Amino acid sequence: MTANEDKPVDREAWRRLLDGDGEGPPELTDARIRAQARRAIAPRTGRWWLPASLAASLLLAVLLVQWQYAGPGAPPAVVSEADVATSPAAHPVPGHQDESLMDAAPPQPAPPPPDAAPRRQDRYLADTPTTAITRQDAAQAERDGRFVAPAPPVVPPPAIDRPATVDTPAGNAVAADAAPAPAAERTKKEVSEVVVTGSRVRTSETKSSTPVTAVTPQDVAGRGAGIMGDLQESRETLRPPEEWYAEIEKLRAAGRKREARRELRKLEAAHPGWLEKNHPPDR
Amino acid sequence: MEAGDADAQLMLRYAAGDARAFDLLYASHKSALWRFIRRTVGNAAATDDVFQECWSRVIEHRAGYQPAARFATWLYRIAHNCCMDHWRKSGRRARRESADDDAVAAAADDETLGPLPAALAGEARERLAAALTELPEEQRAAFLLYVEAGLSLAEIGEITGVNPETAKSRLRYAVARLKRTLAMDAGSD
Repeated sequence: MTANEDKPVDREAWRRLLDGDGEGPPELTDARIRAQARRAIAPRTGRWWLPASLAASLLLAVLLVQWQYAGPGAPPAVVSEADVATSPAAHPVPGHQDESLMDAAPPQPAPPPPDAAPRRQDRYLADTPTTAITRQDAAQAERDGRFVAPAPPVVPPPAIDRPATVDTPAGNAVAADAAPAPAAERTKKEVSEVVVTGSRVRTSETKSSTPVTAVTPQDVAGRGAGIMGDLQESRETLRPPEEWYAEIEKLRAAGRKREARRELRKLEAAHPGWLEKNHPPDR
Repeated sequence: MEAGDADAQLMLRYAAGDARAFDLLYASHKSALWRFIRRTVGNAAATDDVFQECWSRVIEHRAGYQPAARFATWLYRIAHNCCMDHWRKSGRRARRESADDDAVAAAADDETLGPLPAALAGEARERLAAALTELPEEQRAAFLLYVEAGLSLAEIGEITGVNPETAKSRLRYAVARLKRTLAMDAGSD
């Protein structure tokens, strides 16, 4: 390419003509572009909050679901006959009988004598030998330079879901009465949930008169009003009649006679004869 | 890449995370690029949009920048494409080259129609700006890339997708038409 081809036009002359007005981008545009350029190369270290908030939300959701299902408002589990048959608690325990079925069930054979087979709790206690190391023993061993292993934690026997005195032979019953069973008391305190799995009476030749009924949450919800009514009624029944009558007197004194009459009828229904006996009509 | 292309080095430094390099690069090219876009688009409001879009593309493609050519060539190719996109979006029908350009080019060889005396005689800049808007799209691009951006004919051909001879021809046609318009305006005054 020749020099003439390289410069076909007087570039500088035309440029002077074009540059004369000193045009350029406005300052706002300058600032925007520079800011965009800086943002583009800025390290993205401030985005930690996004995964953190997601993790916190997820954790909260899981905790809420767990709390909802583990709380007191959990829907009742449906217990079927198959569950009862396969559950280990369904195996009959010798001697343990449901009192409600005692009348219907034929008389059971007498429980085996105490010597025939040890009771479950007794067997457990017999199978776990324990060595009691007292403080005196430890002090003596320390003086002798011997090592004394720390005493293992005392493992309580497994809770047995039957009363201590039920089906106990006479001799044992006396002993049980004399020394109240601490395991049974612990069991009473520790039990927070009662699961009815059916009768544990060995009824091979009889048929249950009360078939297992599956209760769904819908059934429970449908019976809500009835349950509340029952609760109200039982509360009123447990109410002391004297206190109740005093409130009725207050209602009368306040001029609310209609309410007083209604409460009086309730009192009579809850405690039949009490009014007649303590506050005769002629009074 | 031409040896010692400081702009290409600045662009590489910016791609590596040096914000100061971008400031230097922007300061050295912003006025010429603004005028190029202003003359090409011919609309003040659109000029700002196209200008920002052009630099946004520079920022966006910083990581893929390869200094195979001068930085100015790369920058004005982006600017040229942005102007094309603007025309496409706005639906403007660009004026195309016509058959009478040969006659205009022949007249441009007449040295008596020098642009500067006529332009400097009156309101030259306004006349030149108006004359530029009357140029066909390809000729205006070639003229502005040559005068404003300072690119060579080969670079103009590379940017506009033609060979250098075609770029040279377009440039000559543009200059001739501008001379003629300015001379006619000066004569009418």
